[in-house]
Amino acid sequence: MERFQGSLALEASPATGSRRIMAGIIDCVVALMLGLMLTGTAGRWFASQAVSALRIGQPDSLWTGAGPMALGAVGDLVYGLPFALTLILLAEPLTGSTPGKGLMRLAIAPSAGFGRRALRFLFRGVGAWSLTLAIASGSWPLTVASCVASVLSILGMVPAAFGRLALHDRLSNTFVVRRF
Amino acid sequence: MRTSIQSLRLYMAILFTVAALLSLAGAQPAERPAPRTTGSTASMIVPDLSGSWTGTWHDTVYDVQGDVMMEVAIDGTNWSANGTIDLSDIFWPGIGVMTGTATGTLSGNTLTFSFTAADVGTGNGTLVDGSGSGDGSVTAPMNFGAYTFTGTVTGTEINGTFDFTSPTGGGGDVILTRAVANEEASWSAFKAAWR
Repeated sequence: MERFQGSLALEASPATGSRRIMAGIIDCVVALMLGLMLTGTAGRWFASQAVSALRIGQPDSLWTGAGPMALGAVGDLVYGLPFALTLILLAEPLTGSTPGKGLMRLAIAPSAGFGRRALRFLFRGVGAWSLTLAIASGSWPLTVASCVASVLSILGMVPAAFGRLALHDRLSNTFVVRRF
Repeated sequence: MRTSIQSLRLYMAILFTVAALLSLAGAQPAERPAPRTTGSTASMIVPDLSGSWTGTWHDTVYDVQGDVMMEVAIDGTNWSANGTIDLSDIFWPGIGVMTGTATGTLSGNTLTFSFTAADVGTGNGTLVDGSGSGDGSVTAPMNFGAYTFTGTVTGTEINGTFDFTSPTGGGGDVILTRAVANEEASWSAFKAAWR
């Protein structure tokens, strides 16, 4: 945390892991609420696109079994969730914070401009935006690739739970601070 | 920092307002390829379905299946049935071999029926001559939502298809055949051997 020097240290301190976890959970809950509101519109459209993206009902589909069947039953919500989460995470580059960070009194360090915040969004939200694009395009290979990217992104967030920089923090050269 | 929070509030307000307006406007349902089906499309008068029936249900979209059996009794124009459906393959807590009941009323060549199974759902439909159709809903705890069904019946086979209305919902077929009593089966085997 050598970046915490000079005037910045007077107004903010590093975010704790527990606050960042809570902020992430809140963002997911807000995305879920938004997803529920979009079930009849965008969610329905993404569900119809998911039919080709996941080859649902095709003889060679790997998306079979009880789990996909249960998810498919609420497909308007499930397949629209990446889009809803993308919209929530987009708040960070656009406003410098997310609902979760706002409630947990966290923020991206003010020194990070729009460019770095946008880069941070691309890395942090890779699972959400790439899945959104994959489902929207109806592309099975892109869906698989975005699932792999999602797993890597989530693994990259683990250090943040222990008060360290997450992978997306390092890659975008940003960091989260606690507001006072 | 205050400007950042104000911007966030404005962004979220716009986001949820647009979402609310869109949800009020509604959307047209999307289409999923119809589930693969099997069976005949024969049509005839409502046959006598009394007796035991056994078979399977198969969600051909997600390749999940199980057994179905039912016992049909007819008292004049009143039909009743009870049966079981094996939903173990869905791996839902508390869901396994589920029991259900059905009732129906025959009027002319039309049988109007409804069925229900606790913790699974309900449905109702009509059977005109040998062709039937209807709709229903899989309710809590699974909440799979609304579905429609069509089918045909003969004295020896009930052949139906079901289709959940969600674009990504399942769909498939249910095929039941009349269970042959043990004595009858033995006699058939004896005759076959004699020939």
